[in-house]
Amino acid sequence: MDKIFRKCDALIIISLILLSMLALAAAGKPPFNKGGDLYAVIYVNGKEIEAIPLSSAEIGYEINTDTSPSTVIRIEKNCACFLNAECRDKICVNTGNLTKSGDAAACLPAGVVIVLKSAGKSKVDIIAY
Amino acid sequence: MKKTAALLTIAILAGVILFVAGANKRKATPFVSADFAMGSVLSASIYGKNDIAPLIFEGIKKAEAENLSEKLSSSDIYKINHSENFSAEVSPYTSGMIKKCVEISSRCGGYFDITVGGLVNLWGFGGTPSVPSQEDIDDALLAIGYDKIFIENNYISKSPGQLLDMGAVGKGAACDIAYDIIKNDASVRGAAVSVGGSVLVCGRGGKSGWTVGVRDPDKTQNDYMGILTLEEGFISTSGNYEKVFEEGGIKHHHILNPFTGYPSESGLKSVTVIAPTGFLSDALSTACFIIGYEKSVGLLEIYGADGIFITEGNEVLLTENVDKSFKITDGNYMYG
Repeated sequence: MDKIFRKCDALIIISLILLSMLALAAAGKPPFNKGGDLYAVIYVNGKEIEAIPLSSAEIGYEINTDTSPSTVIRIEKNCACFLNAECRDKICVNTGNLTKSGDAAACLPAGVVIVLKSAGKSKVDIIAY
Repeated sequence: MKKTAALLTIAILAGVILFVAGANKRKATPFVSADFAMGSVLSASIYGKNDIAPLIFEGIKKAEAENLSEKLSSSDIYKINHSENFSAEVSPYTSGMIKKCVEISSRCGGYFDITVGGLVNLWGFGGTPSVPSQEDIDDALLAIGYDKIFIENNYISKSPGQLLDMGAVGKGAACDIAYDIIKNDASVRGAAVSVGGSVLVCGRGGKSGWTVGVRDPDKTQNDYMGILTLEEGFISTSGNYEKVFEEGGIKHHHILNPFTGYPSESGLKSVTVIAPTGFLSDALSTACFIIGYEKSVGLLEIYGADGIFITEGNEVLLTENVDKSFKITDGNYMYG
């Protein structure tokens, strides 16, 4: 009776198992450079206008939103915030620095929201406030 | 035979790889969206095939415009507030909401009351707040009283001078709307939705169960002092940090006691309520913040709800069912 598997068959199967493990690792990997990388997503009137990887922001810079009232968003390495806004109450500016996944700040009069997201695991899914 | 066996093995392995890899990828990438409604930020993380956040946001905006807003002239509440004969026919949804509010008011002795609209406006919490004169507060208190609302089918009548304000229930009710939309879409496996900090978590996200951070009352809305773990539920927080202004060296928050006319002083910094519906979690968090911990325990029991109370001394008081599911993560707080 012939053997069902020969040595070369075993090699093929082992190779496939290794390949499958690689595929699984690749599928679980987030779509960014490193697991846990933060990025700031900026929404204007509910529409996403920009998603900025914060790990790559070695040198801080500012973004002026073309809104009324206008706002200035400061992007730094692993940090984002409303630097200034022409709104009355400045709640957005007073929210301070956003530094971890799930952090959010909003200027309601301008319709601008910044949400920090992470491709990696955050300690909480959402914050009740 | 050998070739058949080898090919069969390859096919099975390839199938398993594709299936597991696909499942893993779905878990890892929720659709995340944000928008505005009810003067608040809406955010949604949707796990599943389709991003239904636009539908959720649309549903919430519709309820604001047609039912709950006291500012938009298209809404039922606006119609009641501005009716010349102090009554209006409203949608069954609005009528049902008002009925539920009145019921909660009667169960907590009127400390939760949607007829505080005039008092809220007097303090200016919708615009530029300031401390009103005692005389004006006394006048505003005369108009307050849930027992002056009459509901007959979908006809609502109120007393002259009374203004309804759904601010204490709107965000929670919006979570209920989100829940209905999510449950009607089989493509959604799980979702976490926030309407200005009132939260809904349901189904399955990236892992089993959900973790909800409870805001640190002394820090920003992005800082939490503890973590609640649950499978599904509605969570709302009322605290002395929202809409705060300072006058005469005193900080004033926006949760008004309908009997004194002043910001509530119950020895609490915040109350977080976990309830079977968003409406209940929102309404009860306001009620409990005003009446304090001792009276809240019985009220929460009636509705099958639970609470996390943070006192001014940073003690954390828990009702029985959250005793094991909530953990303090900030050393500034201690279990009471």
